[in-house]
Amino acid sequence: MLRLEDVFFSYGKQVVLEGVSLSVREGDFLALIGPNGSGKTTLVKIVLGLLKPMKGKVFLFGTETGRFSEWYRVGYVPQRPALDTTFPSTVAEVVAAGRFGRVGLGRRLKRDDRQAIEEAMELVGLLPLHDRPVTELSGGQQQRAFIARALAGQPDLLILDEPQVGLDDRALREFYRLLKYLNCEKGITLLMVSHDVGVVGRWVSRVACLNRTLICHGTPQEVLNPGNLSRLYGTEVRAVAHSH
Amino acid sequence: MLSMFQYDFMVRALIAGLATGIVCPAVGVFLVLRRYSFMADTLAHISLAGVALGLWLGVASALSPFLTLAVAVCGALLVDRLRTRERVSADALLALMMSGGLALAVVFFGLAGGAPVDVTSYLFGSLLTVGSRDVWLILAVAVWVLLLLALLAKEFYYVCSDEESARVAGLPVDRLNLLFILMVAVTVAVCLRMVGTLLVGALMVIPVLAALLVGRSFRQVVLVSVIIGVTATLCGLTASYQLGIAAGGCIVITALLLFGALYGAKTLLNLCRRSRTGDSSGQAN
Repeated sequence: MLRLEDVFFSYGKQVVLEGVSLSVREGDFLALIGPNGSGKTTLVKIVLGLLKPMKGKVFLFGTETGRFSEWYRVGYVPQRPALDTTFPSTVAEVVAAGRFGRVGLGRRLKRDDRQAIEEAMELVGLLPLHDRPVTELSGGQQQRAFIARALAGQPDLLILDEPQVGLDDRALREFYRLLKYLNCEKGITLLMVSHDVGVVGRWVSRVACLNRTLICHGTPQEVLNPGNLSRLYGTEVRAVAHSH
Repeated sequence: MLSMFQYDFMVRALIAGLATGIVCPAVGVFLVLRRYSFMADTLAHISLAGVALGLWLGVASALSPFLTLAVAVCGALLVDRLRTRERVSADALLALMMSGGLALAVVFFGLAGGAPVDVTSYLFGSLLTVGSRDVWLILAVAVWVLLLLALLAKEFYYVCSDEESARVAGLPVDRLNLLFILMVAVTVAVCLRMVGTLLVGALMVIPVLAALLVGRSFRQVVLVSVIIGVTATLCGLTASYQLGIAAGGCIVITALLLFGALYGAKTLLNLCRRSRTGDSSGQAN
């Protein structure tokens, strides 16, 4: 479904990703973890075609991203709700935008599009709030609105970039339950970027650890052991200790 | 007041005003929400350079609006290129282009020398300068811009609310941005005659700011902006006729008054609501 082959990327002289090879198979719920500045977001941007890898190849559904055109098959939930705090939009308007890629340029939404938008809101439990301005929602509700937006396009692959930021414990649990439901019941493949190592292992089917290079990947039981985690976070922890 | 309908120039001004009042805020919604409020002003100053260039070159008056349009479009293309290729920050870029446009205008007006033209009418707008050809041009541009906005409303909305996600969804974001800036350029260039260079940007921004005070959805904000834009232009034009003051000033002051009224009403409403919830929580205690 998604395959990265020996991907290399740098901002100027600073190498951010080096020889990263990774594949996400159909039905996976993969968490990509790593410390801040480990290249996670860059990797997501490369997968989404927003950045071009300097070396290596990325395949989405078997097609290289440069030639890939069925972008509506990929749902994307950005890092923090990308909407400005003053942007006037109702939940329904935000969610509908997720359908636009599938509808086509200059075409109107048809009945099945409206149905998909409604279903997406229903799925995340926001249908009763559909005409509320997004700015009036709580952090957790806003997050769900953006997931609904990604779902409105009925994607096969859903990519979430640190979606947990700003959610309290209860919202976080509900959020993981929703993702699990989408993965198991709706058959959507998930790739989630996270820096939260503690909770993530309980919910996902696979974990990949990234810190410029791919340090390890496998099931949470295989990967999330003290040895790997200190390899992943060790240098950073020490650096912090030194600075104090 | 009805006497103003006896005059052809006033009827022309009202028709052109109606079109301006609809199209400026409709485009302005996207400008304001993208934090490009100064784009309209910048393109207006560049358009003014086009007007001045026409005077200097002695272009026939029938062709001069088209020259202004052409200069505005070139300016828009340059702004877009600098914005996307050179990654110049938005405010610096607009300041650069605005002062550049104004400087060129001053130089061209100077070179044109003793041309028998009232520069202030271009700066502040005038009812008398709107000829029947201008009305047709304004109507044609308004129809073109509104058709495009209606056709691509959902795409412009997505790009405006979340450009990155729109790009991921496969929308041709760069081309949509370019098309949009061209729409702003032509709108500014033709509305200039009536509202004036210094105030055309205000007509794109103030009605939208007023609408943002009350609109709860994007659709509502667009609708309320247009209603305020039309009200401001028609009332402003009437005031301009009655008082003999430049049209642009009257239109923008009316828009500001509407903004102030909505702001006051909203503040009052919030105060009432707060005191009411304060009362009820007091009772609960």
